[in-house]
Amino acid sequence: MNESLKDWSLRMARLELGQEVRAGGFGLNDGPAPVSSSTFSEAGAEPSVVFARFVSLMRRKHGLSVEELADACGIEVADVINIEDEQLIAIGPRTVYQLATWFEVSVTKLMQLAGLRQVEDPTLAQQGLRFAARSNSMASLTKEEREALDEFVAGLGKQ
Amino acid sequence: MSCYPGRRYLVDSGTQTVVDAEIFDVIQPSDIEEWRLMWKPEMDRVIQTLQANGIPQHLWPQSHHWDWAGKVPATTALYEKAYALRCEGSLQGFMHVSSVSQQCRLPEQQGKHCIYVDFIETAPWNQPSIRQPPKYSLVGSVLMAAAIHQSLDEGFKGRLGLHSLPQADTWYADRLGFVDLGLDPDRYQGRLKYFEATPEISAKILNGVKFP
Repeated sequence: MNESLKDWSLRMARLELGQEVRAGGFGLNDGPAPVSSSTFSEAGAEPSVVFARFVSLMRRKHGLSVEELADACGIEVADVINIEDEQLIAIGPRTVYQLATWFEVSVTKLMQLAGLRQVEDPTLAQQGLRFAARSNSMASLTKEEREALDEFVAGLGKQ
Repeated sequence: MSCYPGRRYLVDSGTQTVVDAEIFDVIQPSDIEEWRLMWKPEMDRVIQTLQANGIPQHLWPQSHHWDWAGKVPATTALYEKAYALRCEGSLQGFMHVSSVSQQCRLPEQQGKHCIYVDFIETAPWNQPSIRQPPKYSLVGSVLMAAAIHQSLDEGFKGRLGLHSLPQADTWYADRLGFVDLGLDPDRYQGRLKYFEATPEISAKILNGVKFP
């Protein structure tokens, strides 16, 4: 025998109890904020700075222009520019995934660095702070920057 | 074929009793006006309180900025439909769907048409993160049942698709049994998960109930 509308209503109401039901993405730019970056802040480093510095140095290490890196990773030139300008608001998981794959580092950790995942590795913030402090955004990669970058890449791990 | 306006029930969370409700397959300008006068100020008050208490923004209701006035045109296209749910004289929920904006992605129904739920939201006083207990429960279920009925009416056999806001993922995945296809890198900046219902999932939700 089919359930009555009243019984269905009571059953589904119990099922819906405590649940949010929102779906749809309008106005997403003003919508869900990126995952909290408090772990980084507590360590004294903004993840956007660390992520920007990392991408910039990796690009320069490979001797690529912004356009060449975007082309190699299959992402938008504007995304690379925004990342290096520390503007991560419009950077989605696909872009970070492509970068991690091309740089051959852990996708999960780079997502954390980009603020797209909760920071799971407590040492990542400290590593990021150390890395950011030892590097800058000058055009040529100094010996110190190369060492800092290599150390940080080792910390990020392979995929 | 579904008939509108249709008689439905909601459950008063305070008394745990069913109360009469009515669903409409159109959002009238008067509904939008009510949204502007009742719903939005309530949401604004909630946000002001959260802000004053230093609650981080990622914990706020994720649809707090939604502007239904700007998103529901005076006349909807043939392939769009908007629903309003009313109870005891007040607006309780909105939904906007499309029959062309999404094709199915699950392997067993890939490329087939489905009803895509563009937007669905309940009034602030029905949202558990804002009011405990919510004024009415069941608003989401009644609206989702309407989306399934539309899918059946249009020959899509109950197939549905939607992008859930993260705070609602468990509702679609665990409670309704939709299939979670993960974060969608191609839409909404890759920040929302895409969920899909097969005819079997939708049939299980409706459970053979006759909706007047």
